[in-house]
Amino acid sequence: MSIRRLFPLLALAVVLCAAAATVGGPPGTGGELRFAVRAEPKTLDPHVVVDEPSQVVAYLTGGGLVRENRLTQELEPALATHWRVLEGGAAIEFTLRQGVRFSDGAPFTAEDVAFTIRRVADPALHSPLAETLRSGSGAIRAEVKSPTVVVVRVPNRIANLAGMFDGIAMVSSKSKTNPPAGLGPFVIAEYKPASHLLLRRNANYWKKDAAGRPLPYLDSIRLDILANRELEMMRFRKGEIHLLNGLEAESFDRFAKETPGAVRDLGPSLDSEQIWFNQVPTAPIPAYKREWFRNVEFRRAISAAINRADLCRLVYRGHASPADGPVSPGNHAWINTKLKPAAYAPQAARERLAKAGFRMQGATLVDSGGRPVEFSLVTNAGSKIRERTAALIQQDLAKIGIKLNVVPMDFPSLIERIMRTYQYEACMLGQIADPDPNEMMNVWRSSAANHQWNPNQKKPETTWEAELDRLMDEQASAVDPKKRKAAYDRVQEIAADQLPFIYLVHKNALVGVSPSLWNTKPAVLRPQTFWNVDTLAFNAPRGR
Amino acid sequence: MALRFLAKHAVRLVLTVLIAGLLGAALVRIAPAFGVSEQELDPRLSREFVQGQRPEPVGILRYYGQFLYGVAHGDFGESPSLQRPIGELLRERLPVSLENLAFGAGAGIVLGFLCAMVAVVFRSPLARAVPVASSTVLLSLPSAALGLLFLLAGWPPAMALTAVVFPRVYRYSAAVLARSADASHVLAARARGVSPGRILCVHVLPGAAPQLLAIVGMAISLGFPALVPIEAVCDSPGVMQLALKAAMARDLPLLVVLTMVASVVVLIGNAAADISSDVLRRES
Amino acid sequence: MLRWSAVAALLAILAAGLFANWIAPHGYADQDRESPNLSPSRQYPLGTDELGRDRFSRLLYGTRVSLLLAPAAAAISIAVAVALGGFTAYAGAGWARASSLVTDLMLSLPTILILLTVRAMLPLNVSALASIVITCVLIGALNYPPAARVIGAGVDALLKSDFILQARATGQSPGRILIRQLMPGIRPVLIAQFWLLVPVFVMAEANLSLLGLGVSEPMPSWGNLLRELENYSAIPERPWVLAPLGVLMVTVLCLYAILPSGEPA
Repeated sequence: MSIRRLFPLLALAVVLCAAAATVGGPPGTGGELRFAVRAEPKTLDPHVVVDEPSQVVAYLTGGGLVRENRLTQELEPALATHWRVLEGGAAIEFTLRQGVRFSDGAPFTAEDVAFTIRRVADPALHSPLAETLRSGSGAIRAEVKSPTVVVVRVPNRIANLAGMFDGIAMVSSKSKTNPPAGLGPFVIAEYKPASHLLLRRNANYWKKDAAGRPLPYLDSIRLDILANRELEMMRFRKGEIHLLNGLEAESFDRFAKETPGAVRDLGPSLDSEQIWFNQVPTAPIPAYKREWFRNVEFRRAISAAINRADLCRLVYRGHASPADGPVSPGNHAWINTKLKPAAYAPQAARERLAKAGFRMQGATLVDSGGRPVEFSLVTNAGSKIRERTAALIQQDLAKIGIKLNVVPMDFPSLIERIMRTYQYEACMLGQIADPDPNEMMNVWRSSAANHQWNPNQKKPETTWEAELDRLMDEQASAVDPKKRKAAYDRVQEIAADQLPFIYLVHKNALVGVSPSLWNTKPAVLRPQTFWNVDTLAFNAPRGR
Repeated sequence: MALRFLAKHAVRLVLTVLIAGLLGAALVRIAPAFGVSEQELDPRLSREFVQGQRPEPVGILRYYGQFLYGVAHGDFGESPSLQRPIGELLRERLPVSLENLAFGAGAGIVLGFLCAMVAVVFRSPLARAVPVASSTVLLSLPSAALGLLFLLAGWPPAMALTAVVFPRVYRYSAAVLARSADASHVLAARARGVSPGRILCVHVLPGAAPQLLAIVGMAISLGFPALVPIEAVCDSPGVMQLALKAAMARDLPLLVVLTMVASVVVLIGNAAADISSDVLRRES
Repeated sequence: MLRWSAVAALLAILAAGLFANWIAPHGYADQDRESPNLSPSRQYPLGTDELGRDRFSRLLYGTRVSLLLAPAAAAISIAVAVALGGFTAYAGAGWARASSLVTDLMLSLPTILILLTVRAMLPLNVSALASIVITCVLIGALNYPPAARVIGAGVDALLKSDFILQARATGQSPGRILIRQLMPGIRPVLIAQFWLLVPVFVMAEANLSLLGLGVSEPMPSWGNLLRELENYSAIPERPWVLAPLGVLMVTVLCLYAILPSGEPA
């Protein structure tokens, strides 16, 4: 028997031993958790983060008033023990936890909350967090009612106001450092650019476990800056790092064979992959092509001609589900369950095209003017997944006589084309969605820049886009969750009927978690593997 | 005379570096997607917010003037894509690249010279066949592929550079030494029964020294660009790893500085080759 | 003898690529969606890729593209270098300095930005043939500097040699000197440079596809087949994915190396 054949057995033995060690017994304290981020964090200030590595650092070192349980998708008390939404969503009152101290030892009070809100709202800081709170013009204000009660007012009503405070790390008003001292489970101990970031346990962290022991259990976290995914997986295999986020299907399957207990498929994530056609009236593309793209029957035919089941099976190796709308089955609260999945129906596609005036000329589809139907699909280069998806779609469309030219290009060039010059015909990209539809306002509203197929409209050009505008406004201001749900259900119906985006798949959330870690509860919401970092521990008890 | 010669090279170096910096800046500005940010795709951020993040459009000459003024005062500016001072990035990363270059190219040069010397001294087919075969195979593999193979084997990235530099150095130095060994005075020494080691040290090497020095220069100017794919695939935190990132992010200040660094290294390599060939010419 | 064997082997490989339409058991884009990721078998001699495409057929078609593209690009590079070297050798010291400055600048500038600018100027619907020709011209034209330095030095040395001085003294025209004296003199340098450039261009083509320029899907080339290297930890498990390509590349380039002198230089 070769070593290669023996390897999975050995790995299984290691996993089983590790699993045996996790059953029962108290968690060990101490130890260093290690995982990788793809790039250097651009900032260590939790209020100005936009890139993923900075978000990871902000999550691990910041403490919010509330925290969303990534598993139940419910809000839970954190630094605030209670909250009350006032004035139909234009204000919120927080009652703060007492006896909490910042990492530098200073006590946490309502003054600190007011300071944090003022800091975030300060235009000079240019904080993206203020964007989520400021849906219209006007100021964001914080009033201190007592040392433990604070009221925050926003310019317009926000349906999910409390949820917005999950990502706002509270900072100390008395701190002299920049960024100021925080309340998260870890503090930054060392930053070696291009190499790693070391976080040390915050000895003043407020949370305790059920047995009254102080959290977090871990002593430190080391974030290695590793751009190379394969290198990251090699190190995971050797046990040098303990977590893998956002695994690709191919690697997942390889790990599943080698060390079955180390990887987990969490089911459909909230992300989607989609294509859309350029419908911008002023776009520098031939007028007849724009006419095809604006024809809903053409879009429906393309959607029907794409074999989504094959995409899931071949590109994602079964770790994805066909998409029929913007909301993934993983988003239990907002999915419209009445919508039927888009079926693969090339014959129906041909019929729709015939109805729209297209006809076959030999093996080529031509439009009513006799022009062959050929268009280009731009996507970002370097993504194997998208290149394979495009190759499959290319062949699916060839079956109905359409020639598709796939053009991968570097990301900035792609963004320039789809956001500024509109020099493209069709585009394929993914969307990283938040569970709440409020985050999608800039996608569905016709006046927004992210209304990709035809952005920045002065007034809605079609009746269905006017209806989308109305429904999105309705869900954003409605306080009654049922009304919000009904409005967003209708948005999903319109999206499925008009197909401005042709949704392809919702990929599954695939993660790797070292069997030596205890109490891991990976979830589809980000950060998938370490959202409960304060209660993660290594099995072997270590003295501190 | 020698001082004037060196001064001429130094002036040429400075002028070329300045022109390279200006051209680099112009290239970034005319390349598509200058000033584009990934944040534009983030549906949570408003148009106004993203526009507020965009750099102010600035004329290339004015920008370059300001940049040179900053450099003269020890300030290289800040990289917009990494949001860090470029001086700091250079301090952290240049030593890593120089170390990769010194060890990688150094080992490649030593190995190449040694193999060439062995081939000249022991004129057996075996002494030639081994380095010829290995250098042919290595030359057939692109440097990024070599980087990946070395990474897979768990060897340091500098060794991948050795694999890039060695075959080229061997090829050229073997040819140079062979020519030097065929000179009439060497053949005469051989006929007199002088030992091969003595022939190499006393007759062959001194004659070929200037050209061997030129090969060292060539290996450096060839090894530095080869570090771009190697550092990128091996995740080695050198300055060349930044080059690709900076180009992709259209990071104007960082690219200008990197272009200037690259031109300095290329020019030093070339100058070494030129100077040694000049010396050779004068001697002959 | 060795030289003729090398010629025969190289021609055989080239023929296999050129006649891929007849030799390959499947089309390069044919997807057998029920048979993805297969190991080698009689039906699929090198197995299939993720989309059920026959790896053997893709290797043959890729060989055709790369065996034509990389040497053509190398020839362009050398032609540019020879033209520059020849011109500066005749035109005098001022031009020589200017040309050397341009070469140094080309070596220092981030050529990736030049490529991006070219891509932005091209239409999106470019045919496969046009994309190959553009790729070939671009990588050839942009990568001439290393060859230019070596060839320039060679030309310079030759111009100072006795036999060229003699030819000049006998009143031969510059064109005649170039063709009858210079070209044969620098031929070994040209050939050495040529096959040093070929492997570089194989990978350059793969990198270009990352900018939307190279040989695009579903057309295979050695460069984009080599991108399987990105999943390098899977290589030992499935050696048939890359080993045949690696062996073919090394063989072809070694054969190129043998051609000029009849022995492995």
